[in-house]
Amino acid sequence: MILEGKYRIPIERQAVWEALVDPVALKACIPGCKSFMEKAENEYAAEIHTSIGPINSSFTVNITLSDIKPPESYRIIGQGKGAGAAGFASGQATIELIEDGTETELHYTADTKVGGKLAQVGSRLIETAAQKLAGRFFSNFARHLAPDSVTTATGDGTVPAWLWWAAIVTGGALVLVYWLYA
Amino acid sequence: MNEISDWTLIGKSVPRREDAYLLRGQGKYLDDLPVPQNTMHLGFVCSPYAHAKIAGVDASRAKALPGVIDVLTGADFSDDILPFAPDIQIDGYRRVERLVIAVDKVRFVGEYVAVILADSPYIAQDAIELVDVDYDPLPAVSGIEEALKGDAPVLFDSLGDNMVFESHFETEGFEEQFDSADLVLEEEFRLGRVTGLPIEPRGCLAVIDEVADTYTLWTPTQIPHQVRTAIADHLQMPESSVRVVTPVVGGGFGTKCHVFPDELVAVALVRRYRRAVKWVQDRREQLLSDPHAREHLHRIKVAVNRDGVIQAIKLNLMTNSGAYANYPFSCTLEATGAARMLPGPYRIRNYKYDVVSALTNTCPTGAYRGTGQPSCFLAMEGMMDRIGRTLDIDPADVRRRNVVNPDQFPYVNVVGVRYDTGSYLQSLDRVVELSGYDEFRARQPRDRLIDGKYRGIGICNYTEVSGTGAPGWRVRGFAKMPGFDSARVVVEPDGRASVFLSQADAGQGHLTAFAQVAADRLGLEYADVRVFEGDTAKTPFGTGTFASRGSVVGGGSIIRCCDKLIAKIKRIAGVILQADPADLVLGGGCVHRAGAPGNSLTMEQVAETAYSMNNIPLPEGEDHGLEATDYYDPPMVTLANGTHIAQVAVDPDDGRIEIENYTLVHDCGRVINPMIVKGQIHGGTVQGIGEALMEEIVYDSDGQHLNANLLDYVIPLAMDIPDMRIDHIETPSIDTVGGIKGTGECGVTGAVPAIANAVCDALAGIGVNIRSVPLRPSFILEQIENARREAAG
Amino acid sequence: MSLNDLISRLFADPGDAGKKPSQAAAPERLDNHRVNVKLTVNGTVYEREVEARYLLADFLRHELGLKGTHIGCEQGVCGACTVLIDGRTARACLQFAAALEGAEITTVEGIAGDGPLHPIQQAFHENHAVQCGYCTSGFLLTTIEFLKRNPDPTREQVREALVNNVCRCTGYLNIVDAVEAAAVKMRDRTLDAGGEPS
Repeated sequence: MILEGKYRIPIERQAVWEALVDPVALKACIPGCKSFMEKAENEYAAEIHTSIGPINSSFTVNITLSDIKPPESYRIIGQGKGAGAAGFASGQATIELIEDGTETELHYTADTKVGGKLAQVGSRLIETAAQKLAGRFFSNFARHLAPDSVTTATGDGTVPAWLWWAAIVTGGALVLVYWLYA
Repeated sequence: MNEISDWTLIGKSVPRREDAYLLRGQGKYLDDLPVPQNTMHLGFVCSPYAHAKIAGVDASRAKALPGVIDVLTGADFSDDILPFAPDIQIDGYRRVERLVIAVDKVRFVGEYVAVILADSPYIAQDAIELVDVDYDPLPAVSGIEEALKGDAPVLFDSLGDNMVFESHFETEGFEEQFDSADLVLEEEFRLGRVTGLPIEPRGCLAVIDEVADTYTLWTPTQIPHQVRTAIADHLQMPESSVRVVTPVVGGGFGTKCHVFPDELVAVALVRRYRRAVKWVQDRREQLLSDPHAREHLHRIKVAVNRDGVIQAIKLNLMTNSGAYANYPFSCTLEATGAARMLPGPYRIRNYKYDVVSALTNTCPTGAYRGTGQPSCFLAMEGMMDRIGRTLDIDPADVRRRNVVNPDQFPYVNVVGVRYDTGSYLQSLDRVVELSGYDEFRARQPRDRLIDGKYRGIGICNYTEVSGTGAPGWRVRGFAKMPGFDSARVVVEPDGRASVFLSQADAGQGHLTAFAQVAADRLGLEYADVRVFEGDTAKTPFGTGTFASRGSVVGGGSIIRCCDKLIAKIKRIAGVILQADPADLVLGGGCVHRAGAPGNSLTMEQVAETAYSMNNIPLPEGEDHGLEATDYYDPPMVTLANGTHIAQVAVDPDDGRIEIENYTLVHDCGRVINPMIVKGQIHGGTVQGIGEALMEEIVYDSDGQHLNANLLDYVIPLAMDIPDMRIDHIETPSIDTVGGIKGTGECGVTGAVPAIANAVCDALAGIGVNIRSVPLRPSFILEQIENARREAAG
Repeated sequence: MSLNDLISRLFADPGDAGKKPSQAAAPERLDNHRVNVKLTVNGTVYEREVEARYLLADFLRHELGLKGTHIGCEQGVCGACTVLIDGRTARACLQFAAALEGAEITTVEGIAGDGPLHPIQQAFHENHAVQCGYCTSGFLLTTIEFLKRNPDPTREQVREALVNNVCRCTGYLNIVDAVEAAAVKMRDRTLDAGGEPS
C-alpha cells in the first residue's frame, strides 16, 4: 500500500521539526501512547495502549530514523507488532517539511506492508481507521504546538508517514479486536 | 428383471427424508457430536507471512496459560507424519511436499506453524495469541506470470524455479491446419480466484476406541475412504486401525473433498496422547487455508473459416497452484481439466494446448464445483461470440455450425473422450426458443442502450464431465484415485433393505435419492429402504462424492449390487415357488411369476428362509444371508450437457449488473429425483453468478490475503438472484448403468460464461471488451469510462 | 451493522462511548471473569454462571445442548446462528450470553418442539428449500419474524427479508418459494383459528 499526502501546520518549520523528533511531544500526542523510549540514537520504541469498550490491547512500534536533514526531511522505517498473532505492519517513508512563511507543509510518501489478521479482516477498514486515529493525533499535535491554532488538511491525506504505522497498527488492532470479541 | 421403463420411483420428486431432522435443527454436524470427557481442543497458529523463514518458536507464554496442555511445532511431528503429498504421475509434474506443520519455512499466509492443545476452544484461541514466532520474511510472489519470471522468489529451492506442472498436447499436422483457415481470432481470458465456501466450516474429532485399538476420525469429508488411506499412508499405521466417519455435512462443493493437514495432526495427537482431540475451524481460517480454485489465464487462438466453422484451436493456459499440492488433486485437477474439456460440445478436430502451473505464495488451489469447466467455457464460449461478432453471424448460429450433431453420437472428441449420447443442438434450440433470444436480438439496438441501460444477452453451451471412472483419472495423472464406488445391499431378516454406499453426502439428498434407486430395483416400498454412507467401517471401499459422480457411480453401483442380490432372491424363491428364477419378477415387496402375482412370496418370507428363521430349507448350495456387494467402475467419463442464456442490464451510472432473464435447458440423462436435480441446478447456477459477478479472493503482490472474511469475500444473497426458467431434456447414457449422468456442476459451468458473454454483449456497442471475471461494479465502471475516454480522444 | 456504524463504533471518542446504545452490553473484562445469567430459552428458564465473554451461540450449544443454532462465520455475516431475542432476530454469534439477563430466546428447537412441523418448516420441506441444512435454522427464524411483520409479502419483499442469511446450496429460489408458500399456510391457519397466528 503506497500512501502519499501532505498536511499543513500553522507553525514555523523549525518548531514542527523539533516536535517531530521530540519523544516527549510525540508521546503526548499519540492517542494511548504509554511510553516513547529512545532505544538508541534515532531509534525509538513506542508502546501504545488502546481501549475500546471492554477490550484493552497493547503493542509496540519500533521506529528508526535515517537520512536526517534537519529541518527538511528524514526517512523513517517502522516495524509494528500487533498483539501475538494479530499480524504485522511495517514499512518506510520519506517526510519532507516545506517552509511557507510562518507555516509549514508536511509531505510524506509511505510504502507500508500490512500482514496477518490485520490484512485479512481489516484491509478495507484500515485506511479509514488509520486516518481517524491520525486525525486525533494531529489535533493533539497542533494543540501541543500552538494551543490556540487550528490545523488544516489539504490533499487526500492528513498524516505524517511514520504515524501511519502507529495508526495502522492501532486501527488494525481495534478492527481485529472488534471482529474477534465484539 | 425390471426394465427402467417400469420403474416407479426413479424419476419422481420424492420429498427428502433428510429434511425431517434438518428442519428441527437435529442434524448432527461435526461440532454437534458428543465429545468424550477430557477432550483436547486444538488451535492452530497460522503464519501471517506469505514467505518467511521460521527462526524460532517460543511457546513459553502460551504453555504458562492455565488450561493449555501443550504446544507443538512442526519438529514435534517429524517422526509421526510423513511429508504430505498426493501421488500424481503424469509427465511434466514436479512433486512438492508439505509438512503438516511448517518447520523451517512458511510459504503462504495461513500455513500452520504450531498447534495448541487446550482444555477448551476458548483457551486454545487465547493461547494462539501467546505463541511468539520469530519470522525472517522473504520476498514473496502471488501472481502466476510473476512467479514464472526468472527473478521471482523461488518457493522450493530444490526445484530451482516455480514451474510445478506443464502439459502439452498437439494433434497431427496441427500447424498446417491452423494456418490454412480463413482467419485467426485471439483473446485472453482471466478468471479470479474463488472458493467453495460451504457454510459449515471444517473441523475434526478424533477419538480412541480402546477396545478395538482403533482410532475414529469424524470429519466432514466428501471422501472418507481416501481420507483413511491418506492417514494410514502418512502416519504409517494399518489402514484397519483407522475409521473415518462423515457426520451430517453442511455443504461440500469440492472444498471438502481434500485431505487436510489438520486431519493428519488430529489422528497423530490422539495416538500420542491417547485422549480425544477436537478442532473446529473459524471462517477466517477457512478462507485462508481451505483450497481455493480457478485463477486461470487463457490465451486462446481460434482459426476459423468464413462460414463460422472452427478449424483449429491453440490454447495457452496458465494456472496458479498456490504454495503446495493439495491432496489428492494438486494443481493438475484444474489444469488438465480445463485444457481437456475445452472442446466441449463442438467438433474440434485440430487442437493444441500448452498448460503451465506455477507455485506461488498463496493458498494451494484444488477442487471447487465445476473444476476446469467454468474456466474453459469462459474461453470457448467467449470465442464463439467473438466469431459471431467478427463474421456478423448470430452467436447462436456459430454454435449451431460447430456443435456435435445428433446423428454423430457416439462421438470421440479430439482428446479421446467418448461422448456416448447428448443433446447439444436440441438444448441450444430449446433454450433459444424459451428465452426469447431471437426476439431480444431483434429489438436490441446497435448501441445496446435500452431505457438508459446497456442490455445484452449471452449463451453458454457446455458439456459437463461426470461420473469419472478409473481410466478418466489415470489419463490425468491421478495414480491413486480409485475411480469406482461400491454398494453393499442387505435385505434384512424382516424383508426391508439397507444400502451401504461408499459415498458421502454433503447436503445433496443421497439418503432419499439412493433409497429411490434401491427400492425401485428391489421392488420394495420406498419407506422400507434405508441408506447409510460416509463411514469406512460400515461401507465398502470407494472413491467418494465429488466431480458430479454421486448419482452416476453411486446409483450405478446400487443398481448392479441389487441385481446381484436379486439373482439370489430369485433362486431361493424359485425353489420355494417351484418356478424358473428367470420367470420371476420383484414388485410390491413380493416375488412372483411374471403376470401371476397371485402366487407370490413376500420379501420377508424369502429373507426368513435366507436367514434360517423359518422351516423352509435353504436351497442346496446356497449361502445363508441375503446381501451382496458390488463395485462399479464407470467409463472414462460420461458427459451431461446443457445451455444457459443470460440476459443482463448494465447500469452505466453505477456499473451494476442486473440479470433480467435467466433460462437454461439441461440434460443429465436418466433423472433419479427431478426436484433434487433442480435444486442442484439452482445452487450451482447461483455459485456461478457469484463467480461471474462478485466473488474473488484477493492477494496483494506480497502474498497477503486481503479478504479472509465474509464481509469482503462477497457471495450472492437472495436479492442478487433472478428467477430462472429451467427445462429438461432426458437423453440417457448408453455407457453408464441406469443411463444416469451427473448433474452437480452444470449450474456453475453454464452460468459463468453465459453471464460474462451477456455483459460483453451489452457493452459491445460502446467498445468494451469483457474477458475476465468477476465483473464487479467498480471494474465495469472503469471499463465504461476507459471506453468513453477512448471514443472521445 | 453497516460499515459506517462499525467504523463509528470503533473510533468513537471514549467520551461519547457511554452515550451510544450498545447492542450487547459488554462484560467488564476479557479474562475468566464469570457472571451469573438467568434467561428463558424456548419457554424454559435457565440460570447459569458463565464466562463473561461467552457467546450466546456457545451458551445455547454447549451449556444448554441446543445444537440447532449453527455457527457459520462468527462475524455476524452469514446468519446461520440467527435466533429470536424477545421476538426479534439476532445473531447469536455477536451476543454475549451474560448480557441477556431476563431475555426470552427462541431457537430452531423451539419452533415446533416435539410436535408436528410448523407451517414454515412444512413449506421448506415441500419446496425443497433445504439442502445441507446448515443455514436452515437461521432462515426459519428470519421467516418467522418476517411473516409476523408482513403476513402477505410480495416476492421482492421476501427476497429483501432474506438478505441477512447466506445459503450456499439452494441458490435461494426454493427458499423464496417456501416463504411465499408459508405465508399462505400461515394466513390459512389464522383464518382456521379465527384469530392471530400463534
